[in-house]
Amino acid sequence: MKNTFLYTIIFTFLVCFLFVIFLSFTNAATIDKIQSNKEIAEQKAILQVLGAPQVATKQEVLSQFSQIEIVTINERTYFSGNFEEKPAIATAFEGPGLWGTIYGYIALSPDMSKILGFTVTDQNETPGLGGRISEDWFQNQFNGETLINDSIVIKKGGTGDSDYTNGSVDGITGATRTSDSIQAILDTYIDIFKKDIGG
Amino acid sequence: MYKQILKDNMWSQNPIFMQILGICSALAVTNLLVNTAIMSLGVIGVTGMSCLTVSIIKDLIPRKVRMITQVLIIAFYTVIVDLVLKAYVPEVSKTLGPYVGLIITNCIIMGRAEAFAQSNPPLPALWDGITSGLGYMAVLMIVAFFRELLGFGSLFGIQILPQSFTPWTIMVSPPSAFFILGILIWVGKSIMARQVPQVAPQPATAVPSAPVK
Repeated sequence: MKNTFLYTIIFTFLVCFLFVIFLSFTNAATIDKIQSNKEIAEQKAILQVLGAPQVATKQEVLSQFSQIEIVTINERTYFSGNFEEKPAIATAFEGPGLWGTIYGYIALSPDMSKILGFTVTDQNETPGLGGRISEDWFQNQFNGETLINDSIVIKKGGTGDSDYTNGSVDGITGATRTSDSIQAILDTYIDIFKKDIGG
Repeated sequence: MYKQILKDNMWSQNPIFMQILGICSALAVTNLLVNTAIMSLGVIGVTGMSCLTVSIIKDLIPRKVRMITQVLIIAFYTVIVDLVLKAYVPEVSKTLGPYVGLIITNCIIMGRAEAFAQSNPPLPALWDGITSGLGYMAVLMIVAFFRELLGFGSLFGIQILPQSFTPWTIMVSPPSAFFILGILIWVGKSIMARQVPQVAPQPATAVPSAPVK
């Protein structure tokens, strides 16, 4: 009986049916939490580039985020904030890296003279090489870096550039292509900023 | 019997370094100890539960759709693990990326379901699944220990080596796991050869010839 054609069909159908039903319940039970995790992660990234003080809990993130003004110019969303007396305007960026698209946020001062923050939210660069663009030491270099000719240079063979007025930051050794990609993305978005906001 | 299963799965029949199964994820997730621990716990959960479920319904499964059913069960538990990680530890879920979903293709699970759970009662099957997962975890944690220490200079995210230490870039990328795994297999086999001078008889729980993933 067990190996008849009909039994096999019915068994397969029932097993699939039961497991999928249970999965749907699990999915429904977790979907809200997953969605809110995603939103919080995005909001944290925006707050970080705007220079908001670091907070840990969800409530604090939400309350900080409510102080941000959100405006849409030319179909692009800008987040403007003023944390610790430092006004800044941020927007999401995306651009091609070496292996995949790099996503993140960048913040400029309102007069477009300085980068105030830069963070990567998603990337598929080589772990340990280009992947280091997600690390703090790389991202923190941009905080307060002055733009020269509306651009920033990501230098090869940097030796710990601590000068925030020379318009250049250290690239990553062994990840020239990723460093170049970041520079291209930054240049593109600085142009977009200037076009949309002026300055 | 339970003790023998534990011993087999942890040592003499260890899925990673004796059966060479589950190598794909062994290379991919062992760069940080925390990731490895969570991934391994996921695998333990999925192997244990899949083996239990397969064993419970084994008398109902028609022979023709036996493996399809096993894959369905494994996929079912894997998706649950993935959802739980996404909901409760989003950061870890992000670093593990696609590898949680790839638990489905981990040959250890399919191997245990087919070789053991299909022909044994539920409790031993559950135990066999869990201990196989533990055997996998033990080896991966050793690999991750060396990779994180040499690649990042840290253990469980805590800086151990001084700042002046130059991280070994190769340890961060997956190929380094090949070297460490190779050395581990060498050491393991050498110890085993010393323990058992005569050739050990082939165990009854043969591994199906699934492709190594």
